[in-house]
Formats: sequence, C-alpha cells, structure tokens
Amino acid sequence: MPIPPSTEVPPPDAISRPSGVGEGVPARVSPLAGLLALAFPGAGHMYLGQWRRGTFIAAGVLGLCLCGLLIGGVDVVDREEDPWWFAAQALVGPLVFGIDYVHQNMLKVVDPETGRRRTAHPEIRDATGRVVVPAEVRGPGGRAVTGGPGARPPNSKSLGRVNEMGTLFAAIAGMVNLMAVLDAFAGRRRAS
Amino acid sequence: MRVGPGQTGRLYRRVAGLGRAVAFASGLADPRPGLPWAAIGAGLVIVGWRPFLDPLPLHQAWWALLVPLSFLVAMVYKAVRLPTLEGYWRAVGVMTAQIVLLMAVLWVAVFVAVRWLIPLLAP
Repeated sequence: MPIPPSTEVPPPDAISRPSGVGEGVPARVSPLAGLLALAFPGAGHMYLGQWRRGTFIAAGVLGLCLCGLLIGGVDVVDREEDPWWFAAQALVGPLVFGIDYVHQNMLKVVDPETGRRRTAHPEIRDATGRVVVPAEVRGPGGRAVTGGPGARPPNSKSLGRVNEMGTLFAAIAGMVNLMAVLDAFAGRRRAS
Repeated sequence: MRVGPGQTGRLYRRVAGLGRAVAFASGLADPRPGLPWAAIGAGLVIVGWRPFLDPLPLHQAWWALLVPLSFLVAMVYKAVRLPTLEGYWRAVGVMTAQIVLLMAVLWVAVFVAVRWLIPLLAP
C-alpha cells in the first residue's frame, strides 16, 4: 500500500520542542557571554537573555563565596598563604581579587622583624583570664604594633575545620562558576 | 580566642549562661568547664563576633555546613544543566538530598572501615 505524503514524520526535535527551546540547540559560540560570566557570576546567561538562569547562577555562586567568608572570615581568601586554593577561588571573578586585595593591604599587618605581611595576633590570656600578651593592631604603614587594653586585631585567623569549610565553600564557588562560564561561552539557546 | 567573664560584665555573664544552655541543649557543646561557652552558643553578637572578619565558632557543628554547601552547589548545577527551569526547585531539592545522603553513606562506610574492619585486619 502506498504511503500518503501527509504521513511524513518530522524529526523528533521538531515534535518535542518549539524552535529555540530545549537542550543542545546549536548556537554560535559566544566569547562575550563567557567573558561576562567570568566578570560576574550569571552575567553571561543574562547577556544571552536567560535572566532567570543567570539569577540562579549568581545567587548560587555568590552565596557559596559569601558563606565561605562568613564561616571562616576573610582569612579563607589569601593569595599569599593559600595560592592553590586561591587559584580555584579566583574563578569567581574580580570580586575575589578585590577581597584578597582588602585582606592583604587593609587587614594584614607587616611583621616588624621579617617585613612580611601576616595576620595580626589576638591577645593571649592566662587561665585566670588576665591578658598576658595584648593584641596587635595596624600601625603606620600597616606595621604591627601592640594595641591598648581591649584592642582587637583587624581580623582573626580561622583555624581547623572552620577554616577548611570556609576555604572549601569559596573554592567550590569558583569551580561551579567555571561550569557556568563554559556553558555561557557555548552560547546554547534555551528557555530562560 | 578565649573571652574572659570580666570583659563585658554582667551582660556577658547573662549571655554566656544563655549560650551555655543553648549549646548544651542542642548537643553542640562539650560540657567540660573552661570552654568559651558564650562563643559556642548564642553569644556571638554580644561577645563581638565581626562578620567576615572573625570565623564563626562552629568547630563542634562544622559537619552541618554540608547542607547549605550541597544546596548552593545544586542551585548552580541545575541552573546550568536543566533544559527548562520548570521544576527547578524540586530538582535542586532532590540533588541536595542525594549529595547529603551519599555523604552520610560514605561517613558510615568510613566509620565501619576504621572502627571495625581495620582493627580486624591489623589488631
């Protein structure tokens, strides 16, 4: 029996998805979207018109980064002391470089003996609660000087698990942002 | 950093007591004396915790951070991978639960290996 022309079956994609919507619809590579995603999390997808997607990416990446800073303090982003972790964190974008700049130049102190930057020491108390060694503060030129009674260092060094978790949050933020950068670079057209 | 009771006076002692009660009731604190109770419990703000400058005193509950970590990772992953964003939050919830459950299973497996299997193999 001859097949009538009207029964011609269209390709599956044409049935299941409207034009321009769905996974893997070919599109031109978009270097600008990739660069924007690297400059600010989610911006690449917003540039491609996928506003909701971009908003979720921004919320997730910035949430991870800010949670890391909240958990471990600014000490978790440290280009000089943790360069390998910083390499992963840097994938979040210029924001992390700004945080590291503030950490290195506005919070750390310069050791008077070695001339190197380090976190200021907190005060040390004995078992009775008496201050044995007062806290360090930033002096002229960022040099470490002994603070007065009740003085606190510009920031505190995080230790142990708290430092690990804070560092991990910020590093994972960079790694998942790399995934979003590559996706924006590929320029796939999808529902927003 | 240890904070002495004399540092902030009566208010400190009240908050320290509250922090001690909250920390002990929630099982997050070790009941040994000498620990910085106020910092462990509810006294974060009063004892001068500075957000983003000082670390959170979560040494006893660091493992609970796995939940927000998994949730935020799932948020980004699903935003990138889903063809459409219909059912986005459901997919995020499922993935968060999968990560947390897998980590719990791994914890049990490592616990059994370290506490039972390895002592059996090398007593």
